[in-house]
Amino acid sequence: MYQLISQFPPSNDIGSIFQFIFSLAFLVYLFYAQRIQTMMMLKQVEGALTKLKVIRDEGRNVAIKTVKEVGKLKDDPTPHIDQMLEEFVIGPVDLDPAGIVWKLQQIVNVREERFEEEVKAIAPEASESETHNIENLIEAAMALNTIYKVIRHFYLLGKRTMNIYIILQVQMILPLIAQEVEAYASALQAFVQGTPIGDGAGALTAAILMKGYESRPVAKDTVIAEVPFEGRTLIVMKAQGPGGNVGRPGDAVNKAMEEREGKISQIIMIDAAAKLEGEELGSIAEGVGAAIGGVGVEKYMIEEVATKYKVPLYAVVIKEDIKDVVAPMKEPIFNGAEKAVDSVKRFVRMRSKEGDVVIVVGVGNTVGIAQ
Amino acid sequence: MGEQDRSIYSTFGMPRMLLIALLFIGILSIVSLYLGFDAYLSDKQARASLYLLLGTGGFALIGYMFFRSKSVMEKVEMIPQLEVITTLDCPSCGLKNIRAFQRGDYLFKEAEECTRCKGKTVIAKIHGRERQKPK
Repeated sequence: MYQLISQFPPSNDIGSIFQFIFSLAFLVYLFYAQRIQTMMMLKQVEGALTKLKVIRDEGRNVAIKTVKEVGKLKDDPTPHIDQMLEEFVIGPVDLDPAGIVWKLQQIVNVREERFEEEVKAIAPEASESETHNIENLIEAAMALNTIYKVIRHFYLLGKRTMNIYIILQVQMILPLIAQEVEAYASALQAFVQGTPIGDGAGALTAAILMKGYESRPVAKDTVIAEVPFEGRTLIVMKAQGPGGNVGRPGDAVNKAMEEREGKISQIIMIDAAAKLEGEELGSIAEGVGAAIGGVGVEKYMIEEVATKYKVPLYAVVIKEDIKDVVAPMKEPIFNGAEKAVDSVKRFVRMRSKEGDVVIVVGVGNTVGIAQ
Repeated sequence: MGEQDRSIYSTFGMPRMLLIALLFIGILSIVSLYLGFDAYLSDKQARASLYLLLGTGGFALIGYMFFRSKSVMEKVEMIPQLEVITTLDCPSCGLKNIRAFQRGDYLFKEAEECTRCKGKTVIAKIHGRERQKPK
């Protein structure tokens, strides 16, 4: 363009000035193009951060308001909640990975118990279910706080150093961050009201199967029911609802297996799974393996006991978007859980014979779902 | 959460440098358009086309920069409020009733009296749906 415009000699003074300015602008752009691009990216990240701060603050305020309403503590719980929002967990050392799972389990359990105690301290009047819901609500607010702080860190670092590669990292993942933030923002509504969430699809499947049968606690926050089905016995387990918790499926499966000395024909696990773009919300997929997320402790325990007794592990997953995982459960996911019940029954008919015992594990957060 | 947050909010909107750059491009574009029309009136077609192209190109660039700098975060709702629906089922007469979710509702809970047979209804379904925007 510069060469092109030079071919046309200026016809007057304004033309000469214009050509000079244009040439200057061209030179400036030549040397400062990356800086301009960096500034534009910073602007994008700044916009995201502004919005993120508003959502983070809203999450904190919702948590405080709910604790005040439900907990009825005489003192103001705000400082305590602020302190909880900043809590962290340090993972075990992995230089020598042997036995790391048990160390991780110990840390996770301590964290869980400590968190529960803290919630009880700030919400003494809350029922068991409400306590679990408040725990989940504060965890959602914690997640929003952490995301905000990490993005702010990279933003300020990038702004200070004007390093395009630092800013680029954040700018590139903004669409994914936006999705995650949207999910946690939806979780606030779900945990304040106590509605079932997308992650509860597995727990809902188990609840439908055990409906009408007596359930008993088998591990911390986990219940089990023996359900007769076409000459077989289904040992159905899920987290204890309707409060929001995921229970301890690893412990529950271990206990159920040991109680029957490993005489189990198969283990079927049902869980919600992230769908890929283009896949239908609430669609079902079947596979092999332990369908369970989290840090890996529960998965490890289930795989260990299944291997010990050579019991096949089957999985049924209900597909959903990441933003549906902690949002109030949408109708297609609810219908997906009903389809998963049929899928489990088909599995049992096909892969077991009369008199067999099958373990069915409904994995996921059971908020709003009783048994 | 005090000092550092304020530093973020001190530069709301476009960064100052970027605004200056855009202003500069704007002035250049206006001058370019002026020169373009001037050349056109003087019957210098080739020169006129070039200046007009530069002028309109400059304005297009300004528009693009404003558009591009819109954050993906702006699409995220503050706290998305799904409309949550509770479906009540009467086990004795089979009547289905749908109402808005009330705090304390949970699946398989015994709920209010059936309007038809006065039996106890059970919550059979709770699901969220996008709130319909007012037309």
